[in-house]
Amino acid sequence: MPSEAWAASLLRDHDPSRGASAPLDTALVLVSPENIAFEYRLAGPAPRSLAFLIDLMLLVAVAGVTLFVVSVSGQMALLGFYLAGLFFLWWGGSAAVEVLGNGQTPGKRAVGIRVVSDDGLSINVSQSILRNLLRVIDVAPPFMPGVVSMIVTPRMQRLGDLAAGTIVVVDRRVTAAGPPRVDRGPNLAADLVPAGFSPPLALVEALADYVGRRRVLGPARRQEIAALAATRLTAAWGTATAGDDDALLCAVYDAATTERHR
Amino acid sequence: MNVDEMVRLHIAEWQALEADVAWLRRPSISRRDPRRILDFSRRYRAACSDLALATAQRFPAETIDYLHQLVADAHSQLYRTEAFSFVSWVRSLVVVVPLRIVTDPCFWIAFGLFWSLFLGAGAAAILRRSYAVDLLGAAALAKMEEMYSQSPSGLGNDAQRSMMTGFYVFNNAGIGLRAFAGGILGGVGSLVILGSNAISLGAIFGHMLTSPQRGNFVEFVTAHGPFELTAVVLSAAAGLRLGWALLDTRGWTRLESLRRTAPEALSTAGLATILFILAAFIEGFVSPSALPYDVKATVAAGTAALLVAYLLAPLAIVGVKRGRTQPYDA
Repeated sequence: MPSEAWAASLLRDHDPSRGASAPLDTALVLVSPENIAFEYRLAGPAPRSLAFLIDLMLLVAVAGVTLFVVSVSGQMALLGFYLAGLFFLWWGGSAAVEVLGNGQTPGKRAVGIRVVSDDGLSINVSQSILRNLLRVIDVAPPFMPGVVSMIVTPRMQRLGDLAAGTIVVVDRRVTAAGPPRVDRGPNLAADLVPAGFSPPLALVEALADYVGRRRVLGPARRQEIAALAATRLTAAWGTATAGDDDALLCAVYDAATTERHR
Repeated sequence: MNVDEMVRLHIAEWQALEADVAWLRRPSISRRDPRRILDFSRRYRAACSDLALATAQRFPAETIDYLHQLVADAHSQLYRTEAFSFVSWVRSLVVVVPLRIVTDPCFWIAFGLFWSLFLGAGAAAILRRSYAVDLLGAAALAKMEEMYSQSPSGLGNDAQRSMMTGFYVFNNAGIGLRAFAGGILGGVGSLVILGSNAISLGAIFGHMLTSPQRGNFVEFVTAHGPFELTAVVLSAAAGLRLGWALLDTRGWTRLESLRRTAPEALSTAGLATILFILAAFIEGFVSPSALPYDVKATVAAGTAALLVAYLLAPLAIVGVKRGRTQPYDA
């Protein structure tokens, strides 16, 4: 790891002009009536194609088994019901399971994606029927308009999504939200932080990332990473280096965020 | 209070909200506990403010990520979609949809295009026998003539008829939905399907009317004709409406125009599907039945009159003036 560059970015002041152009990202920010902005992660063509193939295989399996049962029974009248049923299954089956599954077909559930309305709400029946009817065009060879549309639209929507006003998002498995520091007890390094030290915003953000991830690092690795920033901080303060750099960074982070809260 | 203490303080509530969301996602709507729903909405609002606080206070990224997902999940449970209302559905089917269709130029374009191509191809096939042969192939026409070589009256038993009804639903209504979906390509897909069906149907009609099997052919196609042909026109009209929304945006962006029009086009396509299914039953059970031709002709006249009444009655009742305020009359 280029430690110099990392430390430099760690200590660099926040420059608002750098945020002028939004980064190329799959995050979609929506604002709720509670005036809170929350994020969805958009699902790209690859997981969506996989989910579609799973659903298609399920549909073929259901249609095949039913056809087998119908032909074994030898009732020609049943074949009529079968064909009419096949019509509804083919054109409306996905919509039905999508609405009942709150935006998830079995394939989408397996892949871990979900359809939601582009205002962040659950999809309604009309949206689901519309996007599933238009799929016949989206997967039409040779150009696969849906795939092209997913690539060129910023929210990765196929034509059916554009007409229905829906997006497909990654249904992230909710990770446990543990407290950032698991080791309890008074932080002995807290006294080393000079009173009135107010770190720049970019440093607080970097520290937040560090504190959030340190749980997955071993003690030696924590010290190694923390030392990069901690030695610079103690040098800037003109104090002796801390024995425990990891604890020092946690203390700086605590001090900074506690200060903000007051 | 630092971040560590804040998270420790709120984590129980967040996990309770997680459990609430999982509980609300379960499909059984029975046994809904109103007190728990109240708790859920309180916890949701608390999680919203926790997320705002976490973002402002630079909580660790994983905590913020977790809260984003939690709030998004809870949001989609709290703001559920509007429940299905039978009254508004009937009103839409009986008043809104027919009014929208007859005031929609797309319907009249599809209607005019279908009938002019159909009648044109029919006339061409009557005047020149080689026209239908060139268009459809001699083999297909010979098969068609063989099919109508015996009288449709009393053809097949009930089992065969229900099989054919199922086939008509699968095939014809499927073509209709394809004509609708093709409209998303600027209306081109709908026009192609409408045009090709109009021309080949016209050529078949023209060819069969000049063949010895004329009587059998007419006897078979009369009863289900009005519903089936109108359904074809309606499917294409729904597709054209989708495509037209991309061209004439009425001041919206193209995508917004499409989004606003699509549900309306969908209701027209839904009506077309209903007509296709009704036509399939008539084609399966009335057209090949032993009923005298007069009855089959009465069915055709009755269904045609029903269609005209259905489409024009709301316009007549609500009045042309109200009809003009509909968006498609611009």
